Amino acid sequence: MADYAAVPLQPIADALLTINAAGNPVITGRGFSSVARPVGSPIGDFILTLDSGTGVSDIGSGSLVGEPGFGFPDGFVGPNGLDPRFARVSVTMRGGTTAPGTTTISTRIATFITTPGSGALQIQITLRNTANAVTDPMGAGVANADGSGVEIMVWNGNAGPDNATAQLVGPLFQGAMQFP
Amino acid sequence: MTDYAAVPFQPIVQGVISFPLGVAPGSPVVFDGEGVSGIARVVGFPTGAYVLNLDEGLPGNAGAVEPGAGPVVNPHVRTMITARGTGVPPVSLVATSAVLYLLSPVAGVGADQIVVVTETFPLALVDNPAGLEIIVWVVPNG
Repeated sequence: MADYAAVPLQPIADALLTINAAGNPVITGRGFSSVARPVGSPIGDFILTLDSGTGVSDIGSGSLVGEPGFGFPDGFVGPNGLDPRFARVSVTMRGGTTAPGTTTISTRIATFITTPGSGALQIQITLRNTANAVTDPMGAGVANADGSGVEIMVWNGNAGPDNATAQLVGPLFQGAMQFP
Repeated sequence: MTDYAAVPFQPIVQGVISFPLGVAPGSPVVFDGEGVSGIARVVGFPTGAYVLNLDEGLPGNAGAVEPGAGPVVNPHVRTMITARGTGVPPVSLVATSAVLYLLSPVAGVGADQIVVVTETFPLALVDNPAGLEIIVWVVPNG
């Protein structure tokens, strides 16, 4: 097939978030270590904590100049924080009990929760229905008219310089510092 | 780039659902892409609900993703649905979208069909005139 300009996009987490019979959120998947409801937010709002990364390979992630609170100091080993500028999230509802499998949830929001010096260690997922009311993705232990759970996927994009701002000097493909 | 704790996602379906003759109830629906061998409207629902048959897989994994357990049909698969827009500025009619995974009646095969459902606001099933993009991944959560 056509060779487009490929973009590295590293999948780092996936979850199926459901509600158990006790009304508590549960995640099935990889890349998240836990899920909880935020304090004071009893419905439709969830904080997912990312797994810690592999320590050795996190060396030299590099801090982000001029961006306090994001990225690692040079040589710092884990935890595995994400830079929100490079992370991408997909949130998809699973259909509920109203045939043929509809959902009432129209708004699906992903918010990165960052820790200074580490980056984003948590992702907050908020679900709202068409009346803009926060709503759980299913009932307690059973699917309902709102849905039967919510799928979440997280990728980390290229943490290098943004190509759109790179300094390129012609002729084509000749780098600015390239000499004959 | 930074080596985060990687999770393998295997893409098994990518394509666009569209309506070559328009979005009248019961009008033809088409899937252009890969990983799906057929598409049809869900029986009894002339708008806004489509059933996609997954391509057959490798021997031993024929045409399905792993069967799931518990209140949710399948924990091993993830889907992304994006509505395309029409007009200037582009708009879509989709207010909600959802996916379901249908189990094969053959024991042990797992889900071999995917249902995609879209509604407009106020909530009512709707065909989106510009179509829907869909990507499906299998995730190794077993």
